[in-house]
Amino acid sequence: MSKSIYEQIGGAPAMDAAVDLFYRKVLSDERVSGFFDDVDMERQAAKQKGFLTMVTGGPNNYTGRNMRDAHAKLVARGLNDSHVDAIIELLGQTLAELGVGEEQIKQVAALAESVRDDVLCRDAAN
Amino acid sequence: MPTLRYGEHTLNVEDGKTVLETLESAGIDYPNSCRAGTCQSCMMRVVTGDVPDDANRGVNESKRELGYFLACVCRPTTDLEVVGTDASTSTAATVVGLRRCPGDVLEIRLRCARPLDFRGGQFVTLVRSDGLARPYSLANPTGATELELHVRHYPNGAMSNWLAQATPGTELELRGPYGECFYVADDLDRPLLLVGTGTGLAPLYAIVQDALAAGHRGPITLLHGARHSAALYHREELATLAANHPNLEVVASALEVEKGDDVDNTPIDTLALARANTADRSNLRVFLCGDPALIRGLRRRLFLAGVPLRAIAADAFVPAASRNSAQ
Repeated sequence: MSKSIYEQIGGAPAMDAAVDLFYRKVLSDERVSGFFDDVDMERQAAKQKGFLTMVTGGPNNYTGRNMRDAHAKLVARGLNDSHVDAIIELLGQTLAELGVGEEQIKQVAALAESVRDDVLCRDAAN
Repeated sequence: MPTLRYGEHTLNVEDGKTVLETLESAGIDYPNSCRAGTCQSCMMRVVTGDVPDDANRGVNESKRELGYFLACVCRPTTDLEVVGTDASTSTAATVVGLRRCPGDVLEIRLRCARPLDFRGGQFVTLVRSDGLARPYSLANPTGATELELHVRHYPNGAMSNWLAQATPGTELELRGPYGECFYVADDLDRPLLLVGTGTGLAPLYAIVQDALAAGHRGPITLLHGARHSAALYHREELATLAANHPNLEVVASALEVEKGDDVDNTPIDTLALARANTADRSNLRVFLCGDPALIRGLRRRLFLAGVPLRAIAADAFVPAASRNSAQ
């Protein structure tokens, strides 16, 4: 078995720096930054850490229900596919900066893709 | 087999079981979500005993100092006594002194019925006999026995107006301490940046004193801001502290400056960003206290400027919702 991407980028001790990198990109991107204006930054960072851990294959206990509950209000404010696309793009940039190869970034993107319907609070895609 | 004490329960921890699993097998529900040590929903605090190292990985330094850990990944190896994160303690306190400072600030001195175990920079909630409660920061360094609180006196403030008329002997209840804005002596050479407006100075004054007492060697910058320079208080105390410690720089900032007063009229957030930009940002430790809009905005801008999120401790002084209601 090859190492998970999570382990490759340094595992638990490296996650804070990875989250900082990702979160800065999100806050600096006008397509999505508005959704993060009134959030508690520390709690938000903890959630992003859970997300990054999950999509890179680290230890997690992902439930779609949490993802739905967390995003329901944002969906009501207009969160849609274009925003999910932007997040997946920023996720890819973050991993590239951490030295993850293109092929593996695609695998991560595919995992992130699998939560799209939960994030947007809709039934499993067509 | 280690035992786990939680409230009135004493439970045996089966081999390899986590604190969360142990609580659950006894029918005790505790908030949790990821069950993998990331989401921090199941945070608890240890009162006696030691949690294994991997039980607080990912918990920030301040919380770790206070004994916080994650129940879902904590597999006890020794006996533990734990409490939830909402557990608070209460003690009776008596006013022993009151001084009026510039900027409508009341400096209130209290003595507690039993010693308060706090870290300089934390805050407490004062509770009047009729239940009226307000949070205030302590201005004392860690270990002080007589507490000093800086209270902004609002003419119609239910609590502050009452406190302004307190006399030695006035009795109160004190709850806490709370908060994570305090000095951690993990690196005596890292730069420290402390930014506060109004009575946000109180916790920063405590933190600076703790850092100096710990022998902090890195540069310490304390920025204190107010709308008008006449409202800046404790200036003599700060000047004395800076004169005695070459690595401490104190800068007063106000938007309107009294003629001839040695106060910088650059907005305090501009000063803070400029200081951060010339410091080693990856190693900088920041403390922000006071006006909520300023603190939140500055936290975001410092983070975007390259300061790690968990190196920024922020304590926004959110005013009471019923400030003007006459109690």
